[in-house]
Amino acid sequence: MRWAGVALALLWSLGPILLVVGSSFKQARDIFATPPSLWFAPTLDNYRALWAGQPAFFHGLASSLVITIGATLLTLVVSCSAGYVYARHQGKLLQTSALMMLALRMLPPIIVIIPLFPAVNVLGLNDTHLLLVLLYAAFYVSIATWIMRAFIAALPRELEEAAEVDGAGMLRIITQVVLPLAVQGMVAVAIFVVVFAWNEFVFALVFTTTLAKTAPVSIAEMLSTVEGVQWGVVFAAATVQLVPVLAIVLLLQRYLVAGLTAGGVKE
Amino acid sequence: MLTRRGILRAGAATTAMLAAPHIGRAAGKLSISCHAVHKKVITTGPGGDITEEWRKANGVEIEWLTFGVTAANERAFQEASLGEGHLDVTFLLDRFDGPQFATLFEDLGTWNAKTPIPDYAEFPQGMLDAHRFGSKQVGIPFRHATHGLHMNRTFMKERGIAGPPKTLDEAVADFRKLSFTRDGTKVYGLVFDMEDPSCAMDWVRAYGGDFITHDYKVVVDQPGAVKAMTTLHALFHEGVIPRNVVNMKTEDVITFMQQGRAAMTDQPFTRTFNYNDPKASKFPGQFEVTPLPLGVDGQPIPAKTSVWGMALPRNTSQKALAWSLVRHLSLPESTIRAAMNGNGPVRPSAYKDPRVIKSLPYAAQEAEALKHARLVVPGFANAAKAMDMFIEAMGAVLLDAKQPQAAMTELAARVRPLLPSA
Amino acid sequence: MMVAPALSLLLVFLLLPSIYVGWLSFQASTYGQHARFVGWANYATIFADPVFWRALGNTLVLVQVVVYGELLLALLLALLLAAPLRGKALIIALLLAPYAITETSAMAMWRYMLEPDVGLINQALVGIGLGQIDWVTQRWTALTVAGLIAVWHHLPFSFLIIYSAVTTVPRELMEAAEIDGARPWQRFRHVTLWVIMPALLVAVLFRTIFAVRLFSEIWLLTGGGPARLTEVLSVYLYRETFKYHEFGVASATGSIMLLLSLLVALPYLWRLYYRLVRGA
Repeated sequence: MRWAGVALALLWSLGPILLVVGSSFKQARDIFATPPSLWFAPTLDNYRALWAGQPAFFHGLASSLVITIGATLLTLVVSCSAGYVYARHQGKLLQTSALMMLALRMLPPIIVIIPLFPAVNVLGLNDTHLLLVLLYAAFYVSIATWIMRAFIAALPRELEEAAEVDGAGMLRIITQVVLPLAVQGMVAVAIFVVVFAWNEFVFALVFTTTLAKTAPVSIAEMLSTVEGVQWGVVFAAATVQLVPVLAIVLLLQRYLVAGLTAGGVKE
Repeated sequence: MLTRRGILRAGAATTAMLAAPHIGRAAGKLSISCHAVHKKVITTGPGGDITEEWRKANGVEIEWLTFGVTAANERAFQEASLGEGHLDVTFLLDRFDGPQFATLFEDLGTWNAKTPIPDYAEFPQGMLDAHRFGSKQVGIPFRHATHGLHMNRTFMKERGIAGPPKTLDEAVADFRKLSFTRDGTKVYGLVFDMEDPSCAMDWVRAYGGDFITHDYKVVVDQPGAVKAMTTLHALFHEGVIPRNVVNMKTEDVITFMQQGRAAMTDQPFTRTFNYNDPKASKFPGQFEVTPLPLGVDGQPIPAKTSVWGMALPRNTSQKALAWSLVRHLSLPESTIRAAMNGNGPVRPSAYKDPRVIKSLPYAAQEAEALKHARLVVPGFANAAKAMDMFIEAMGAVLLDAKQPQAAMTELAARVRPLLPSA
Repeated sequence: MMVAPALSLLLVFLLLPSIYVGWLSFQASTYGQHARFVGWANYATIFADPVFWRALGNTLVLVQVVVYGELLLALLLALLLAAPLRGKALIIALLLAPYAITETSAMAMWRYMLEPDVGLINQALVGIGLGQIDWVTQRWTALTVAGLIAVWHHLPFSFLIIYSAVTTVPRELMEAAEIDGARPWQRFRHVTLWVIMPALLVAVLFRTIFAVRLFSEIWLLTGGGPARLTEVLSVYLYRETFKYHEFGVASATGSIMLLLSLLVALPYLWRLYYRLVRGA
């Protein structure tokens, strides 16, 4: 009974993914075969076609990588320092600003597209990696700060006090005493941002053209070509794009649990 | 390279934000925004790269920014509305271009008076008008996409159909005959896309109807359009047209044709290359394309055409250079070479060139179809909204939410206030 | 001082644009023209548009279905996995897989499975004698599918929140209840549910906020069609922005979405305010 439930849940979660990964190894003519072919001679043709015919996709992967790393680092730096302050200092104004952060998180980001486009152009930031780095960091900074705040608040103060007595400055206390103990929270924040930045679609679609075009946008373009959708190649691209982040999620999932528990969820 | 730039930029983040630098462009570069197809027909194929001599003569490189249809137009307007833009030449499609955007672009009539395009008079007036608002020529026509009737000859042979339908009645009978099950796959007689009214207009006009006439009269509630809706509704419910037609886009139509899931469609002539593509199609070499059959009045159906034009945003700093490229791409020889690369040539004389006849198997048919072709709707500020309303009403008819006459009457009432005269 | 970078990011990219959207919602604005004050005209336009009301209705229905469907499934899963189980870490990891997928790929895979005639799901339905379902051509089936995909994609999030709450239920409490003769359902109602209630509320809150923004599921599945029957608020906004270039009307739509989100979040924020600021 319990195992049946688990099996059903796994089928629900993994079924569609396995179907796509499986289909990426099928010949073009087998992909829409009726009835669907479960057993087929696997081929790497789709991956070869992807490599040979879609340089834009690999360029997109590189862009995604740059943007993901940038957004993750920026979010970490910004949220660690803010999280530390919120965890260790009291004060009405300060706590109100913490609350404001969370309130801003409730705004639907799609509405900022309208005013942002002209502003972005004036700054010459259109189609740059930097813009998406800043945007993605802005979308995740509040939740990240709350996660870091919770993690740091749970740490004993004595170590910091000892370091302070030894004459260490705030920066040194944070980087050498606090953060090494709050690694769990940083990993949790990193996973959230990595998954989001690697996969985000709408803002990347609107704010990039060629230079900073990300992999999800490039997949969407492969799905709406006037030359006819090559489903096998699309599935190969989807698989390539999925694997690295899937690996991160699978390997580091326990940090995700810890992060969610801390991130304003548990009161 | 990418990584290095990314790191540099990320590092300079705050400074860059505060300093708000305008990212300067290297000298000798011209930026063009267009659809991927434009880049392809200008730079690759039997006609070669048309820009090559021009680039060498001017010592300029071209930066191509390619988008989908909607995005290409959208980006052109966005960039053109800025204080200083990054685009020097933008490709616009007639029904996206509207009089409210005319202020964003140069009047090319003035430029043409200074350095004229040779044989300018050869451009069909209708194509020039598609990008003309008042006295202002916003775009120079570059490409037309005119509908023909595409058909899968294998299926026709199997269903005992000798040749392309000559009249509308024959066509409708063929659609029905071509709906069958083949090797377990359901084949539909007719398929088209419903992203906008392009395809639907062919059938509305086949029955003598129209949506909005060139002098801005809404006639979609007249008997012609209603009869067309009634017929399409019947075909839809008989399973001659697939159920998901209401959500179909161009790329879905291509998939249906390539996969042998549909037998006929009204799409631009040049699409035949995609349907016949041995790499993607299950029926390579089996697709034929002809002009649409004769309509109910015994006259050729006015096939839908659309016209892409080249425009110069007012905010580009390289206007003279940009115009020189537009002029180069509009030369008779350039038109011919782009046609050899698969473009719909905007100069009628190109269809008589032996090289074009050799490259485009359908050259004569397309030239014929072009004679009777019509734009989807005339250009006006609310054209996009009006076209969405048409698709909405047509969807309501097909899905039985409304009777054809009632839906078209209501549509007409909604569209009339959007027209320029109102 | 050290909170400044975080706050300024939010200020520049979320707060200021939102305020600007509020201002723009009272203007007529399009490319190449200066914004012109029109009072409440944009709101009047929206409220007179039947498509807007349908989009609002679709959004509200979808939000309810997605949030509570997800919650129920997540709760069931969390309880299922609460007991000791061999390979539990791996199972949980695998259940999280949909979280790692970009919405473009997710939609591509679901569209592929739902394809009429040749898609896996329709073939299976025909196989068991039910006949095809025109998933994306009817309003409610299309919305159901969009909801289903949203649930599929975001279930890991709700599941994680609820699962981590379930694991905090003190063992002694459960054992005590068991000794007192409480049946499993009673133990759940009187112990587990009581402990995880805050987490449930947070899950509902966050998922509601996110479901109000739901965009790609509809945009990539139906584009709001057929006949604009399946539009949701964000698609309506997107169409006004990018198809009609009516930035004033789009901004008014955006302001309405903003108010809707704040309304949902207000009780939660209010409570936090009391705890953090008043209590501090």
